Amino acid sequence: VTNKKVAFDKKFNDNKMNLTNYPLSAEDDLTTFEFISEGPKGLIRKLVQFTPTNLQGFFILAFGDKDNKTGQIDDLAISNNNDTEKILATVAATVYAFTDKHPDTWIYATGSTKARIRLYRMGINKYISEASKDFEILGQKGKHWELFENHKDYDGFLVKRKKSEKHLEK
Amino acid sequence: MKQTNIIKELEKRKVPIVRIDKSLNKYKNVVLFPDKLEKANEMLRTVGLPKQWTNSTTANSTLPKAGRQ
Repeated sequence: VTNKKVAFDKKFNDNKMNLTNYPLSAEDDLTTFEFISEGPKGLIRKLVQFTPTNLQGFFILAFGDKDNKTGQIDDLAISNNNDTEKILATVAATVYAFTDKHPDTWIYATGSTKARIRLYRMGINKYISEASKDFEILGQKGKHWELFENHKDYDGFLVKRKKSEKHLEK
Repeated sequence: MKQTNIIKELEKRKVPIVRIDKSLNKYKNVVLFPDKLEKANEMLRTVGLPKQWTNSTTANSTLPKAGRQ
């Protein structure tokens, strides 16, 4: 029985590796999430936080690596763990989880560098057809906002969950 | 349910299953990314909210209220 269990756990973990998202943990208000990136550089702990701004209902989305030794969070780290897409998919999943609990919020995201902003745009591009069913998505260019368009450069992104039947019932 | 079905079901879900971890409560009310928060507050001050939403009557009903939380 023990051998069977070990084999099952191994197979389950191998399959889990193929999931598009990493498993998520969060505190009970679902504003700070944690997941662990797995790749050639090992296990890297990531934190995603939705932080309120000066405007009520307007949050920023940011994420970075947590240094296990110092506890410091670094949003400039380049971990090269060969799992960028899975990380972006996991961060996108946190947006669903956060807006499921806090539906009337706006979420603003921008990268720490131009390259990061471009990476986020590519991530949105990848999921735009599915995400636009559930979210209003705008791009910020200088002092202007516009509906997000593929392959355009932006300084930041703003999303708001569309009202679903579930949220209208509340 | 077979393991492969569980995996497929997990992949289909848009809203993920999130495990509540009380050890993460230490991050409540802690700003982990102060630079980005400052940048966003500056953006709100200088750029403001999108007119596409603020000018629309329907969008107005869902606008967040101004003011510090």
